[in-house]
Amino acid sequence: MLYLEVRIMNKKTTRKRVLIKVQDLAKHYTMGSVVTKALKGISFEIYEGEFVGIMGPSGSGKSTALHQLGLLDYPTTGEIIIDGVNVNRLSEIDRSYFRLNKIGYVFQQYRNIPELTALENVYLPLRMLGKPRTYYLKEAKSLLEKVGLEGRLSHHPYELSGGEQQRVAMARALVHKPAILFADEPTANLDTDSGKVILELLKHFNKHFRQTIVMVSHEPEQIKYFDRVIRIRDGLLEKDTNIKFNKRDKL
Amino acid sequence: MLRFKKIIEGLDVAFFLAIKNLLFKKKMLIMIVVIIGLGFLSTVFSTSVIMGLKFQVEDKAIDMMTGNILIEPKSDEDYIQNVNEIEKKALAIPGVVGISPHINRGVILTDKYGTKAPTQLKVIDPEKEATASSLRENIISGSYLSKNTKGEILIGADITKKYRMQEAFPAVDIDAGEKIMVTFDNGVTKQLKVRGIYGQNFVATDFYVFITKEEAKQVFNATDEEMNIATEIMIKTKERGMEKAVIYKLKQFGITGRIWTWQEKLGVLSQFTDSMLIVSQLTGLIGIIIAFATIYIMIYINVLHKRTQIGIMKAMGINKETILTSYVIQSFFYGVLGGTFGFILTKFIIGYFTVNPIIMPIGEVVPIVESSNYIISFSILLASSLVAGFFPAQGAIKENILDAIFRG
Repeated sequence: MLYLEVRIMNKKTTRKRVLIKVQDLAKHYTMGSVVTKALKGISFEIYEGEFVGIMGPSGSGKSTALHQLGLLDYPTTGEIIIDGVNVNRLSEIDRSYFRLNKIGYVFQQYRNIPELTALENVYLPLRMLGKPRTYYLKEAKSLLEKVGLEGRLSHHPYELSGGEQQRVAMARALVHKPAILFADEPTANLDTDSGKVILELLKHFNKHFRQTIVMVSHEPEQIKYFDRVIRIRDGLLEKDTNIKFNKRDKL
Repeated sequence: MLRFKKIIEGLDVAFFLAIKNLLFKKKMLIMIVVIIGLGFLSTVFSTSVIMGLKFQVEDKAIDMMTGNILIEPKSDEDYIQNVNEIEKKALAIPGVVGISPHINRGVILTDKYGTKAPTQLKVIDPEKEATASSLRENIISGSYLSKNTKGEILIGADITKKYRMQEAFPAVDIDAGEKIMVTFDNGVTKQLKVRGIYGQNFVATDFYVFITKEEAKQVFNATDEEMNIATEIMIKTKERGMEKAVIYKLKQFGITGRIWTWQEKLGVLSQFTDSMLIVSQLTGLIGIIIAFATIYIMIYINVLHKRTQIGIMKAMGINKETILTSYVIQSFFYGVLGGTFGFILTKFIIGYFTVNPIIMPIGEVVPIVESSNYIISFSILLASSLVAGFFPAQGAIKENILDAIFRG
């Protein structure tokens, strides 16, 4: 019975479209004569609609991996194919355009633009994409409502709590409907309740809008939100666990 | 080409970010605008004062030394002959508003204490002199000469102990109404009453003495015909700039002799004031350099504080060109606002000193600014702001995204 279920699950998984394909990804940092190998060649795939957690101890290379996937950095070797595009081969301008179109990014420390209000922070990517004013205002307001900030549209980041700022950052990362949302320990700077709100929201977008999310976390209690966990240790892929399957297994 | 396309595509966002950035830190904006404005002021104002000073020096020299045009005898002659005829011809030329022939001689004044002051005598027709110079307006004690005054003399302030501004010349102890011994260069010594003391606060003109032609006829024992000569003829034109045209007409009328414009006659003095102007322009240039360095440092610090933000914008997918354009637009606004503030401030200050001239040893100086000075200073400060904004921002946007975000 269990074997049959595994077969069914695998079949379902293989039917899913591969959104990110990582092949032998390595990242080395050189400081003088010392070479630090943050990633030593990892390979994995992420499917459309998945909520994937990248976990591992501090210094394992999980954030480094996320930075490479999010096109914030250049890998030393290896390939990253996102939505069918080998991103390593993109020019700088194309990488910028790719980030604007396909990627949303939520940082650990919110990283909103202090000069802009919540609404302006959120609609900025759409405005950059050249969308009409009525459209970007509508979309940004709608998203801020979804994250529960309809009363905070004209507030600047310094007028918001940490949790609210992170929700603004999330709305900004999602407003242009990116193919993938990357989140780098988005709850690390928040209290438990605020962190829970963020995670619930992420899960909500994943579940109801099939938003693909790749999130770095080092908190074991967050595993329950993920469909899959990729564990990295010492720059190598330690384990790739299908949580959905395990949940069923437990059942 | 692609880069240009990106700049155009991102203009809307660049403008948006620039305006938001400018308005967010209003104190910073005000500070930069004030600094640029003061840079503008320092550039324009010092030059305007020197310009005013130059104009004042020239004006005084024109008024009392040279007129707009000065006719002197041919180099091999002592006097200009047939002066009456020259006067008539000159006054017929459009633009000529006054003419005054002078006969210059040497005299020695001796006061009651025996103090002697050698100086230059000018024999004039007071009415004609009043049309060509400001002698009448410059009387500071006593009164001006009239056409038929005899036995009286006008004395320059710088050769009187009481009224002199500087001790440049030997001076006599005398005031209007008192008598003084005058020894003329023909050996005649005569006691004359001091009719008045004149002074225009200009060291180059306040040391002459004046007597009328009527008095000179007695002193030099000359007839009207013999007095129809001049050592120099001062011609006053309606305004500056007409000199060349008037000289052309004078020559057409057959007037000979050495005919000078005031610029030619002033020679070294004119070169000196021109040199002062260059010095003031250099001072203005230093003002611009200081303003530029200040703007550069302030914008640089501003950009340094925004490294994280630049990194986030790049991470979001806002291209470098748009970010750079937004900083250049900010600098453009700094330049325009600062320049405008500086322009208004300078106009206000110049306006104040026009109504309340600056009191200098030479007299009252009104600052003079040519429109081109405003335009040049504005353009230089605007260009400085753009450069000061461009390079720090260009450096910051080149930075690796992660370094900018996590180390900014």
